[in-house]
Order: sequence, then C-alpha cells, then structure tokens
Amino acid sequence: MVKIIHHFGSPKWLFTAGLLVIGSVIVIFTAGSGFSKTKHHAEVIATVNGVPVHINEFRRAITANKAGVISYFHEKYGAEPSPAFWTTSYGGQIPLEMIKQRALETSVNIKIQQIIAKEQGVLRDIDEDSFEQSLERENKRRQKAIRDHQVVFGPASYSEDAYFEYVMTNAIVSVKNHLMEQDWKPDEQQLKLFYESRKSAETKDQSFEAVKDQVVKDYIDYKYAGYVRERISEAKVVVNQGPYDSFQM
Amino acid sequence: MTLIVSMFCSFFTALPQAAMASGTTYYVDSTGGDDGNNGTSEGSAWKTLDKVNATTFSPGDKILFKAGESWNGRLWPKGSGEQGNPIIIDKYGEGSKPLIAGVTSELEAVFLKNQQYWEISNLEVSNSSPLPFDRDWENPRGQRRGVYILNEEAGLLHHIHIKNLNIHDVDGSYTTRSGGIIVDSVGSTTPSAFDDVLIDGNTLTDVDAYGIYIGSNCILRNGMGDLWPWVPKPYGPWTPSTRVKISNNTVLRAATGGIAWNVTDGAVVERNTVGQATYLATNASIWWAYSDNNLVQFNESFASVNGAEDGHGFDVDAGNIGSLVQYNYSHDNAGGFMLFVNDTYDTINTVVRYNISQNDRKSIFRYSGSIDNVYNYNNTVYVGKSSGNPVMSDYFTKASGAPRNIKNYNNVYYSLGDKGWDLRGQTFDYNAYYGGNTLVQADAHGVTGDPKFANPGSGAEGMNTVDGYKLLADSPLIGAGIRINENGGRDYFGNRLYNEAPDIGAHEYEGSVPPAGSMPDPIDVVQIRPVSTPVDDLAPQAAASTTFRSSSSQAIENINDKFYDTAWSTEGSPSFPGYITLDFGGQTISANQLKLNTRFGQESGITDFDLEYDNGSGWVPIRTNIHLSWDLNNGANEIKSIEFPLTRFSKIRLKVHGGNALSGRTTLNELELYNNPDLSKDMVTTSFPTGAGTITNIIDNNLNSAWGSDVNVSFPGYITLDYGHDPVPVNKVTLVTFFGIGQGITKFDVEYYDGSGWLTALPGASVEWKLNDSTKESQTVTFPTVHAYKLRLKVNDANRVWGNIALNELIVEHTPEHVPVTGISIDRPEIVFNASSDRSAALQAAVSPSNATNKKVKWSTDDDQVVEVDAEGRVKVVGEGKAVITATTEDGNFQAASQITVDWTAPEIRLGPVTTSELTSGTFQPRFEISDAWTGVDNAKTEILLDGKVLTDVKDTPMYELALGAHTFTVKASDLAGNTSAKSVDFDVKTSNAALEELVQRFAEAGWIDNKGIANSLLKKLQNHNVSSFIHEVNAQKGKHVSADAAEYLLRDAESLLHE
Repeated sequence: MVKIIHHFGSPKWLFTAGLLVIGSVIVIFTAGSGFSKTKHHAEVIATVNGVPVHINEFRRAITANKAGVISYFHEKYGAEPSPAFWTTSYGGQIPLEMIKQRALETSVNIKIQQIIAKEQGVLRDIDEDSFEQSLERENKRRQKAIRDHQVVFGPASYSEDAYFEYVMTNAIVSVKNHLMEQDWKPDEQQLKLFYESRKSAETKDQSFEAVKDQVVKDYIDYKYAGYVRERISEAKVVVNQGPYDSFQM
Repeated sequence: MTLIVSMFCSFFTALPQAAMASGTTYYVDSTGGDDGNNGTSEGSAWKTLDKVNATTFSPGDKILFKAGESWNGRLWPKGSGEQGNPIIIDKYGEGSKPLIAGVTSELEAVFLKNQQYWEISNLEVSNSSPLPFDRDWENPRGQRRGVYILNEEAGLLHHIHIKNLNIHDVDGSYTTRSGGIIVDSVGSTTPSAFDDVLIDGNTLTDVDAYGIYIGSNCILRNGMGDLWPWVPKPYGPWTPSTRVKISNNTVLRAATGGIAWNVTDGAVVERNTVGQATYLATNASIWWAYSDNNLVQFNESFASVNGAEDGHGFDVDAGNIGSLVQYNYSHDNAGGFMLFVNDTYDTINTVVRYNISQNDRKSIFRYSGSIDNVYNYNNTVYVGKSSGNPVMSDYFTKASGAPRNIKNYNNVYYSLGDKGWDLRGQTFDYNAYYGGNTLVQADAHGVTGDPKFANPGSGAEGMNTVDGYKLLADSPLIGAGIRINENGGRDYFGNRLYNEAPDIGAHEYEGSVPPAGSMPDPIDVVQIRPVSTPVDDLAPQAAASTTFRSSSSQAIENINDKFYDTAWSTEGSPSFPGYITLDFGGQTISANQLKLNTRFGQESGITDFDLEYDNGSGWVPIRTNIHLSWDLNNGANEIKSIEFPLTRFSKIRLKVHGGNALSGRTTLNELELYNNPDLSKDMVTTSFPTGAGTITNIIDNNLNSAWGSDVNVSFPGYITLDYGHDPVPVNKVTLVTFFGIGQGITKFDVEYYDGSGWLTALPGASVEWKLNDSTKESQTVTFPTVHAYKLRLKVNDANRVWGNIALNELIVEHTPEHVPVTGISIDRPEIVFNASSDRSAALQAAVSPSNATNKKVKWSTDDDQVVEVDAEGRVKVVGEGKAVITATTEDGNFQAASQITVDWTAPEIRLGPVTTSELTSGTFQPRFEISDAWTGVDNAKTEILLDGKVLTDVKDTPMYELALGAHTFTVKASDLAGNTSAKSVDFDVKTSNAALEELVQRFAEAGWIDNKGIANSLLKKLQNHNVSSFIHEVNAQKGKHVSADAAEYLLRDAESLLHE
C-alpha cells in the first residue's frame, strides 16, 4: 500500500491525487490591468491562463479549506474561535493569510482541471455563471421529475457544494476515459514497469495478470495526476490584488 | 454568607445541569456567546461545546448553533427526547453551516450514546488527523467518526434523524465503525438495535473509512461465525434495526465503502450519489449484509477507484435474505456493476431489475460463494471502450458454497469489447446481445443485432443523459421480452409496464407498438426459504440411510436436508437396535460434534445410542451409552449436542438403542455434524511461541486459517496432537502452508506415543516447499502404520525468511496399505451346455492374494449371441456356439477365462439299408452314418446294436447266420457335448425254397458240401419241394459231405419251410 502523506488542512483529495503543488506556481499579483472590462472587477479574483476565477468559486474554495485551517491552529496553538481569530497572528502565522493562500491553490487546481475538461470536450462551460445556472436548472429538473414520478438519481435537490463536487468528479472520469482511448493507451511494457514500481508488501503475492485491470486504471489515474501537475506548473496565474487583499471571512 | 452561596452554586454546576423546562430553544455562539448566559435567546447565547455537553436536554428542546461560527472539540449533548417530541440540533442565522471541527483527543466530532429521539441538521463536521490512512484497523489514528450514534447494551432505541450535514475530512481507520456517519449497536448482553433511523440529504466527502455505515454486533443467526476483529465480542443474537432509510446523500471519496448497512430489516436506500468510493482501499461502493428485505433504488454509484478486490457499484453481500436493486445508475466503477458475494450463510432472493450500467469495468457481474435464487431482469448493460475489456461475469465457489439458480431475463448487453461470461450457475432467456463476447448461445429466445438505442454510451457526461438508452422506434428489443410477474409496474424511466408485449432492457418503449398477440406465460419470481442449518454443518454432504423402517412421507433424507421443519420418522414402532448412517462417499471429513434436533422430543426423540465410525476395516465405537433426555414437546426446535474426540472418517453411524416412543414412533428433524475448533482446543499444543493465529487453526479443517510462530524460535520444537484414550492408526501426515518458501517447516521427525513412551514413526523427514505466495501448498510424508495415543512433529528446521514458521493445516491420516492383486482364476475353466443342461451357470473368480485391497473383477463375453455374463459372473446361455468368458481384475488387469460351449443338437444318424434282401441268402450290412454339428461325434460312445446286443464286430454278415424272424438294428450316438441320439431299423430274416437252393449252391461252391452229386441231389429235392426228404439227406450227410455248420443252416431253414 502506498503510504499517503497528509498535509494538514487542505482538501485531502487534492493531495492524495498528487495534485497539489505548493509554491511552485508562478503567481502574479496585479492591481487591475489585464482584466476583461465586460466583467465586474471585484467578481474576478484571479485568472489562470486568462480564464477567470470568480469570487464565488474562490469562496467555495475558502469553505472547503476552512475546517482544515481552524483545526490546524487549534491543534498547533490551541487557538479557539473568536471574532479576531482570522486576523490574529499565532506564532507568526495568520489564519486569514493561510486560508486565502490555500483557497487560491485549490482554485487554480480546479480551474486547470476544468480547462482540461473543456479541451477534451467534456465540459462546455467552465465559468461560475454557467455553473450557477446549471445548478438551478438541475434542481428545477429534479423537482419536476419527482413531481411527475420520473427517474431522478441522487438527491431531490443539490446543495451548491455537493453539486460542484459531483459535476467535477463526473467530468474528471470522462476526461480520463477520453485520454485513455486516445493519447494515453499504455503498452504492456509501460504497464509492467509501472506495476513493478508500485509493488508493496500487500501486493507481493499477486501476479501481474491477476491485477492487470486495476494496474491499467491506476496507471491512468497516475498519468492524469502527473498531467495536471504539469499543467499547473506551466500555468500563468494572475491575481487581482484588490479583491484578494480585501477578502474577509 | 457569600462563601456558602458560591460553594453551593459550584457544587451544582459540576453535574450535568437539567435543562430549565421542556421545549426550550438554546442558542450557541462561539464568538459572541458566553457560557454564563442562560442560552435561551440569540442575544444571550451560550459559547462552548462544554456547556452544551454538560447539559441534559428534555423532549422538545432545540440546540441551535450560529451560522458561520465554528467550534473545536466534540459535541455530546445529553438526554433523550420522546415520541413526537424529539430534541433538535440545528443552525440559526444566515451564513455557512456551523462547523464542529473534531479534535485528535476525541474519536467523534458529534456523539450520542444510548440516547433516542434526536434530530441533527445543518452542521458542518470535520475530524482530521495528521496520521496517514492504511489497511491496519489498529492504525493509531483510531476509529474516528464524524457523527457517531452508539447503542451500547441499551436495547431498542428510537428515532435518530441526521439531515443536511456537510461532513468532510474524517480521518478514521479501516473498520466499519469508522467514517462519516456511523450508527452502531453493541448488544453482547442486551440485544440492541435502532428503530426509525433517517440519514437524509447529507454531503460526505473525503471520509475514512466509510461514508455512512449502519453496524451491529448482534449478528448471530444461521450459524454465523466470526466477523471482523474490531466488532466487539461476544456477539448478540441477530437483532435488526428497522425503519432505516438512507436517502438523498452525496458521498464522494470514501476511503473504502460509500454507504453500507448490516443487520437491518426493511432498509430503504434511495436517491444517493456515491462517487469515487474505495478511494484508498478495496471495498464496494454500496453494499449490505446480514440484512433482510432491502430496497436499493434510484442511486447513482460511479467511478469507484479500487477494483483489485470487489470495487463494484453495488454489492449484495453475505447473509442477505431478500434484496431488490432497481432503477439505479452504475457507471465507471473499477470493479464492476453488481457483486453477489457471500462467505457465511446463504444470500437468497435477490432481484436486480431496470438498472443501467455504463462503462463499469473488470467484472460486470460477479458471483462468489453461497448465493442462491437471483433474478436479473430488464437491465441495460453498456460495455464501452473505457470498460477496459471486462468479463461479463465471473464465478467463485467458496467454503460457504457455490452460486446457483441465477436467472437472467430481458437484459440487453451491448459491448464494444469483453471477455465473455462464466456461465456456471446461470440461465439466460429472452435477452439481447450485441457485440463483444456477450452472446449466450443457450438463450432460446435471444435477440442479436443492433439494439437501436437513442445514443448508447452517452451517459456520464451529464446526469440525465441516460436517455441515450431509450429505444428507437425500430429497435428489435421492443416486444421481444417475456413478462415478469410483480415487476414493480414501471421501467427505469418511469413508464408503465407493459406496452403490449414487454421490451428487453431498462426502457419500455412508450410509442405505438404492434399488439401483443399470444404471449408465453409470464415468469413468476419465486422466493426460496432460507435453510435452517449453519453453513459449517458437514452432514448435508453425506448420504443418509437407516435400517429402521421409515415412514413413506418422512424419509431418512429429511435428517440432513438443511431444513428443521422436515423430519424423519420411523413407521410404527421400531425395533432396536437400529442404525442411522451418514456416508460421505469418497470424502473423508474430520468432526468432533454431533447435534440432534427433535421437535416433540419428549414424545418421539431418540434417547439412547452409541456413536460409531468406519475405520476402513470395520465399525469402531467413538462414544457409547449416550443418553439424551428431551425437555420439550411443543414443536419448537430442541437441539442436543454430543461432543467426541476429533475423528476422521468417511462413514459414521448412530447405533440407536431406544427412543421415547410414546406414540410408537421415533423421529428426528435434523442431524448435524461439525468440526468445532473450540472443542479441539486442548487437542493440539506447541512448544513454539505463537506469533499470529492460534495453534488450533492447524486442525480446524479450514486451510485459510493459519498459525504462525513468533519470530524468535529455536529448534527442535514440537507440535503435538493428543487423541485421548483411544489410539488412532496413522501412516500419513500432510503439512499445508502458504508462502512455504518463506515460512514452511522443512525438517522434522514424526513421533508417536504408544501408551507407555514416545517412539519414532518417521525419522529425518524433509520437505521442500515450491511456492511463496498465498496458494495453500501441501506436502505429504508417509510411513508404516503406527497406533498413536499422541502424535507430534519434532520440528528440526524450517524456512524462516521473516523469522517465523507457519502452518495452515496439519492433516493426519491412515490410508489402509494397498495390497496389489497378483492373479485370478475361475472355478470352471470350461462349461459345456447341452440340450439337457440348465440355461445358466454361475462362475466364480478367485482373486489372489485373498487380502488384496481391490478385488474388483470385470466379466466379459466375446460372443453375446452364445452366452451373456453379468457383473457378478452369472452366465446366461443365448444360443449355440462357442464363446470365451473372461474375468479381468481392476487392479493389474489379470485375466482368467472360461471356455463355453453350447450345443443343443444331438448327432444325426442315417442308417443305410442294412440287408440286401430279406432272405437268408442275403447279406446283413450294418451301414450307418453319424454326423454332428457343433461339438462333433463322440466316437467312443457310438454303439451298434443288433436286437439290443452290442455288436462288437461290425461287418457284413450273411443273413443265414442270423436267426429267422424279426430283428432290430440300432445305432446309438453321442456328441462331445453329451447330446445323445439313437436310430433303429427293423428287418426280417426269412427263408424260402429259392433261398435254400441258393444256399446249397453257395455252400457247394464254398466246399462245405464237398460232393457234387450230393449237392445236386439236394437241389433236386428242393426243386421238387421235397423238403422232408431234403432234411433226411442233410441229416445223413451232416459231418460227412455236408459240413456241420452248413447242415445247421440248411436244416433250420428247411424245418421252417416245413412248418409253414
């Protein structure tokens, strides 16, 4: 079993997928130029290769990282909730700064994966407005279907966070399927090398043939994770300093 | 004064404070509140979890946490609500859900223990740990939970509703008591469970190990054995939680299973989304076990991560009686769509209908262990390129049994590439097959060709694009299915069933279709009843028989048919002793426990018997004078258990001496036989320190359970078996080990205790292990038979790659020595059947030596038109001819033969004319011919008779030498088969004048009348018919010119003429 190194706080799935890259993303802070005039300035907190990250997307990322940051400061410094918690300096670390940084990383990561999904034709729109409209439409559709006794899978009504996770998860599945059918079909040799490099005490007694299906799947997951890391490291991230600096919890 | 008051107050505040009045709402605000407040308004809110935890709440109370706020620690409010008046936890104000962030010093973030009538809504819950996840259930993280609802020996608790929580980053360990929402019953002394559990509308992400788990240790029914090590022992009797509903939840990235439930009755799991389960370890996304009447519908289960073991979207697991899986959407799961797996008592009565599976991988359907009675119907299965060439189904037989009675109707299988089916246990009828290796030839009404879906493979790119699986108007699936009764009334999309004739697949086409016309009879979905006996009961593997006369309606087979409600009964009053035997045929089993179940035992139960087993040479008692006294007579099961030393046998029997024959009969509902490792605990010991498992694992008849020593061992060491006071014959020992190259025993002596001391049965034995994986490898040594009270391996060396030695099973046997056949003979090397013989005979073959192990003989004839022979050497004659009957030994092919001759036909005798004339002048010619078909004339037995006297000299004879008168000439003949025949012919000897004349002339020529003149004189007299004168002259000349002989002949004839 591969040992998972868990970093305190950030959404765990980004780590276990080997996706989160700390600090190696080139981030440019700008006071305002270079942003589309058709969008409200304050609504865009950053762009990734020119694609905007909406303030709501950033807020979702903040929410996703909140519990982790709170637990971090509680465990490390015994910090308790208070009105001043976020702006207090604990041993030189300020919770608000940490959460914004983590939320930014989360947002960049998600936006890169959305860009890949759009390139692969899996997602048509990757902007926040489209997402919110889609959420509203979907919940309306579900309600109507249930009233009409038609088929609906999953909840009668999705919360924003749940719906977002759901759309992203399904999109990533489709992206991997697409890539597997086209560019990334591994040959036997590549698979075997990959398998050998991953073998551990728990899998020592299994032959390659017996686990080949899973190896192919793991291989695709591994390649995808590497591909996202690569795209992140090449990404040009421009942060809109105004909204970013003034962001409050 | 003041001092006393403050002391008084502090005394009281130390205890959980009773809430001030029922139906009170309390507010908690972590930044603006104060624990000194009364908490009953937003402006006077409490602050901390400690304050809430120290309070015992009353029915109707509400505890509201402020939106946007957070608390570190564990929330554990005390008290219970009551029916119609639950206690409610919720949020107040606008903003994000109040966050309860668990801390590493507590396992739960939200906790209730032995409390009921609670509703928890609208919280955010997390419970992180810095330690990593792995498959060790004792991981130092501990069994962390987001929300933990525990019932510990509190009996039945009611009404727990958990709604609209956002639970994430719960870092628990690999157990079923660890994860996002855990509802857990522990009932070792008081059977415990919940009624009315609702888990609805929650979002759970990144939760270890499970998303939602309903668990219990009250699992005992139907011989349920050990569960996982983290489930508290002792287990309680099966006590299901009822009215359990898990609905509208989204579970993403659960480390193992997404949603799972055990020990429930009537659970409803619907409208959940489970994605990327098995994120960190193998499991199944949605699964259930030891539960009855399960309904699983409208769920989307997709993208499970780990398919190395299981990893299916849905898994009907062990011990489930009644499951309905319908209208679900399964896609992109690493292990497959639908798993049926059972390691314990039967999983029965499962229906999987109107589901859609798209791009599931590895094994679309997997059947493993004792699964019985499955109906898969009207499912649409799409196997696309990203499925990675899965098998359509695979099949595993396990110790619990083999999957069987799996019926597939009206399913459509659309494949761009697959490895086909393992068809064992399954039947297919009225299914559609397109592409890959999906086609099942045996499907009598299979449909092939493009199913004409609207847009196959298009799902998973949006949530409602399973419309791609609707049928186009010209689909060959329309009207091509068979009706199923009680089909649920709707298809996957909600259309009514049926539109004229039923369609194949999950869509019942709504457009206009041709009228149904006459249709085949609909299929009835039948339920089978669960068996009564535990799965480790060995008795059903045997054939039961009895010397008692059995009632015709209650046959002896009922004693091991697995059902308690069918009984065996004697017919009328039995006479004792009688035998009830279990014969395992070619199998040898080990057992140490017998159980008898008799309903109405007081009236007709067996009371006295001996227990015996067949040791190869005869019946040997195991225990004698066993007496049972029955307490019940009301139709309830009453089970008596008899223990005995672990014995190996193929046949075992009860020698029954008596029963409670109050109504004359003796009855028995079930006879069960077990190898109970607990009972043999004292039988096996070892001098090696144990590192893993227990030493009793080596004699528990289970190759999968192993014993391992500590890593520090020294040699020699001993592994000893004690057989008690009855020695057993032994000549064969088998060691079973996995990873033998790493940890197997290599050098040992086999020693035995003969009653007075230890002797060596086999010195210096050595085995070489070939494998180093999980295969259970066997190595056997044999030696001359010894009779052992105790047997031990003196272990001198072993492979110790990891330091320890290990052994999965030690099998000690006695196989009777094989004495080979050296020859064979038949008692009658030849048989001749003649017309008077019997038409049958019995041949006996003698096989030598007389103690040969296998004395079986095969009989054959080389001409069955002559003789037939049966398996016992009985010969039946068919027709004439020759044949060889051969007896051949099974061991060694030695042969003996008997030559058979069948001849029913006696010789044919032809007599030629035996005289040339009737007159004395003629010649008697004894002419004859004898011929014989088949065996031929036995010349030695031929007899020629004249007038009844044997003619020793058979030659032509002048007639005058014969007496005058009638004669009979007879020939008697025999053939070599002993058939006899005889033929006779009569003739006369006469005389006449003319004959006499001729005789005179002949005699004269011969010189018997030596005077020509006398001869002439005699002739003249004859010509003149002067017979008397003739006589005178002959007399006168007798001895002179007429020889005496001649004179006799002439005189005799003449006198005869004279008297005429």
